[in-house]
Amino acid sequence: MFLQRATLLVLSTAAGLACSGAIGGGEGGGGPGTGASGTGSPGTGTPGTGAPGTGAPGTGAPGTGAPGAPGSGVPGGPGALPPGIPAIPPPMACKATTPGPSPMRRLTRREYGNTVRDLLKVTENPATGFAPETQSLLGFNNTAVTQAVSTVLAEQLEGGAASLAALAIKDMPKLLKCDSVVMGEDNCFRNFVSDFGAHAFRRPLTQPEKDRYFMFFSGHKAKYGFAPAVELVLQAMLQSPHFLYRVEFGVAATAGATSVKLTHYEMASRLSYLLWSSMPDDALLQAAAENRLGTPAEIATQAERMLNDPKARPAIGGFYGQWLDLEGLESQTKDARIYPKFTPAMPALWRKETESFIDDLVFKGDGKLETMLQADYTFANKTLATFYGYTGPTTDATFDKVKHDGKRLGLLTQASVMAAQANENQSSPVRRGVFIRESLLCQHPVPPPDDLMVTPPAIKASQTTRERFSIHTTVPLCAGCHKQLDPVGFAFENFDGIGGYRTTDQGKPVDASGELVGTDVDGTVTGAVELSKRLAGSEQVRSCVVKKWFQYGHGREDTAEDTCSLEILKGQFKATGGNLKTLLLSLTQTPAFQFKTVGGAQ
Amino acid sequence: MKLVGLRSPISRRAVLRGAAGTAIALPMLDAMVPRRAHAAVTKRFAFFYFSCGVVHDAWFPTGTEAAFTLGPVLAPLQPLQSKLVVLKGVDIAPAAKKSSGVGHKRGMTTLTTARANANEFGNGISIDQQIAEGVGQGTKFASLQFGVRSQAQYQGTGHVYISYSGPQKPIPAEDSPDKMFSRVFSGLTPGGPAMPGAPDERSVKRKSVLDFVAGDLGQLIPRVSTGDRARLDAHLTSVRDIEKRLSIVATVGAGCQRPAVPAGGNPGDFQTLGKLQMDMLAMSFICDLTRVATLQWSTSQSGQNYSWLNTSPGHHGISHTSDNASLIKIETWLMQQFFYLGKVLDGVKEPTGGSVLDNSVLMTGSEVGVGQTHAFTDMPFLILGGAGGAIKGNRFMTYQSAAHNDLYTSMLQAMGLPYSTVFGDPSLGKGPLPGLVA
Repeated sequence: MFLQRATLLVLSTAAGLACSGAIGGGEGGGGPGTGASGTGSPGTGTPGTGAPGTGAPGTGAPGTGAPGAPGSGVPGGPGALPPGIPAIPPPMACKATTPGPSPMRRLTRREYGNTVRDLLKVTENPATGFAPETQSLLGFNNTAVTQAVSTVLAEQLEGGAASLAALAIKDMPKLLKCDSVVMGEDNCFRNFVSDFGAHAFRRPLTQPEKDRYFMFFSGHKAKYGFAPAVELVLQAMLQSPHFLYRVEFGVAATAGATSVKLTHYEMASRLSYLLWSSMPDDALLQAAAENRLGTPAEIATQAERMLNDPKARPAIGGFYGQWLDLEGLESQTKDARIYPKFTPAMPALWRKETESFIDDLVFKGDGKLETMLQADYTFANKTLATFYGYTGPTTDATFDKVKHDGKRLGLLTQASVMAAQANENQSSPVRRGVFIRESLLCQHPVPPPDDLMVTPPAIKASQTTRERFSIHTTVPLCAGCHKQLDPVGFAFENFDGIGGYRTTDQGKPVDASGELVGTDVDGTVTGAVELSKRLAGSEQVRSCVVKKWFQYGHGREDTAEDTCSLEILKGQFKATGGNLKTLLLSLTQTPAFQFKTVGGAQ
Repeated sequence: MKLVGLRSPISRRAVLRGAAGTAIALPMLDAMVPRRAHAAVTKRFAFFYFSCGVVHDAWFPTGTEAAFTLGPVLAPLQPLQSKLVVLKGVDIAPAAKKSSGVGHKRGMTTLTTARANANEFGNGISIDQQIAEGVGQGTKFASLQFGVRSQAQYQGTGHVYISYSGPQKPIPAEDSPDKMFSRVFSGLTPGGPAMPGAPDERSVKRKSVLDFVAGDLGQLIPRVSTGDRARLDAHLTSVRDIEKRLSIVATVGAGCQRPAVPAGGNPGDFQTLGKLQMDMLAMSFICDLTRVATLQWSTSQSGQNYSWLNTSPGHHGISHTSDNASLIKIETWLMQQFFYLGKVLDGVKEPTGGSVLDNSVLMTGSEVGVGQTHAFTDMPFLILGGAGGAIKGNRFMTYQSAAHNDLYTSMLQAMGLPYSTVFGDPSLGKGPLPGLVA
């Protein structure tokens, strides 16, 4: 249905043919097959002819019901952008405003937790006990179309609402913001519904909505009293689809329009969940109330403010954790007999290293993708530094910047990434190759054919991992796919299954020579340092990161209608030298972000 | 028998309805619980999932259908052999081979759905849910999903679900015995449940809120796009389901006791977690709080380390070596657990005769047939329990590459839910497995 994996090369095979010699991997021995190439659409943004600064999106005033002139705007170069977002020539693809689909998004556990923290000012977070989101084939847990509410989850949402409501009514003055004795219970409640409701639903409630809550409240007040009635209203609000989902209707559409601008309040939520993984703050809601979230410049101004708020940092970090496939890091098991340096505490340190590194790079450093891939430093506390064989950090309490020793470079050589893409008792060139193809090049290898019987031999003391994988290149059936995967993974062979550096494997010297094929930076490489440098220069990698952010930011796969939006993003990303922080501002400047398709199946 | 880990026996009726008091109890039951009055037998279904397949030589018995000897892995089940059916030659290959994803995930997403997956998730209702639609409508819970570190790895992916309410609508298992206890048993008061007609204030309030929420969803649904509508519809169905079940008052069955679950924390070790979950699963059947359950040991492609068996590294790691001795240790341990569950249910007599186990179907399944090869053939399916006389035990049934669709069609039949077509993807099967169900 939704998430089609593109492949250029699909092997057909006769039943029973064996690819024996592969070793058991995360993919169960065989490892995925085809390294398809080309889906990353390397930046083809041929500059258009329009002058920058023209063609701002629709000029209507969303929120007021005025039509937003859909279809007429060509975003990409609005005149009054804040500094930082480069004005690029409007891409050729931007002939009309085509925002692509915008499926309704349910709050993830992270978003729910942040939202109730900001809404109720409580520390309790029931979402930690909610069923995990399903992860789509995009690799993200926020893909809207895959998030269904099972009865189990509905019960959990109910329980969460109940415990939060019970907590909140313990301090009625703080919750209600009015004195029910002075003002009268009913009036105070009406105040509360208007004010609290506007925060919970992230927009003012309609009069019928307010009336409906009042009716509900009145009935229960008569039965149970004032506070219990408020508690039940809270429970209902916290289970309302208007709280749990980001409901967007856009401004009223003119006849025949295919897209409309979002209302100012809807824009406030788009911004806050993109940049904070939480609800809008008062300043954003105020801006929405004053219709100040309509123009690209107004949106960018808010986005810039928000990126400088501490709330942005964990939220932005959330993307990287999923992009790098680190979510399951702590549950990885490693074979202590083979890796005596491994302790159950290590994965959390590895993760913290990567989080610290990215946070520093994006928010304090030059923010560039190139630097991310080839920084000659990382972050470590004392224990982790010891693991790496580095000196410097003298405490476990903080993660400090440490210099690499020349054997590692950038993100890809960090233990988190290396250990996540490895097996419990050995490295995995196949998984590492697949990871680079999927996450950095946006190519999607397909798993081995159905009838491929994988009969891997046990690890042999006399053979290196690389040697055991040699069958992949000597048997033609396997080679078709694996020549696109294994040689990429081989470049990481200096890193064992827990990301430790090694120069020998089973007593033999490590051969870390590899090769990239089917990319814009093809050629042989030796070792992960050289591979990282190579990838840092790849246009395809830059485009892929843009695409991944787009998919995460919009909670969906990109579609043909998004070509214009993606070209804007790629153009601006390139113009900033691949700045990952500015990319977030750019994300707010596309038709996909500012418009919504009218009706239709989504 | 003594139920280890269970305490505080309750319910006067439970005593009356015990084996000794059947004759006296039945007329009373009619008045108290009309919904069960005419049901001849209460049938239950549980699916016992474990990862990474089996060592075939150690799993399958030797001998004929009627005269066979259990191998080392199934030996723990010997005391219940008279109620056991071992199946050979049942494959998930037809569905798994039409699926996408890595081998284990293909198996996992088709194991209970018996149809090709989509987006690497199960693409249809799972057998447990299909059965729950038939037998789960009058109980407090239509079904319960118990997990033992079932979400510990591969979170949110097709590796971690066996229960599906519909296409790509997985139902996650609950891994916390503590949470499961409060969800299932907290309302069950020693001395018996509230009588019908007197729902407690908490239920009334919950119902009221849920009804309001359902109203919100109902108002929103017509205003959104068709894709969003489908998801909100599912959400609304879930809310309505909770609401509906609030008015069902649990009827305590014979032998019903509150399981002993430590409040607050959850034990860290796999063995204790499993034991607690099995005790609760058994009690949820015995108390008739639900008639359908799944018990999911770890995930597909499991990294679980069975270190107490002196095996290493994790299950999946071992399954791709030739260390069959370690695999046999793990599989034997899992079958000891399966035996425990069966034994507990066999120890509770039913008013209609026989034990709870005699009226149940406990079924095993794994996502691959053999760990080393990811074969989707000769799957480790077992049936323990008689489905109220519908399934005769002490048999070793051999089929020739039968699709597991047909096994599930047979199970529906055994559960008293005749199915007009083949379960799952109808094009993959032929109909019920010959000779399996009486």
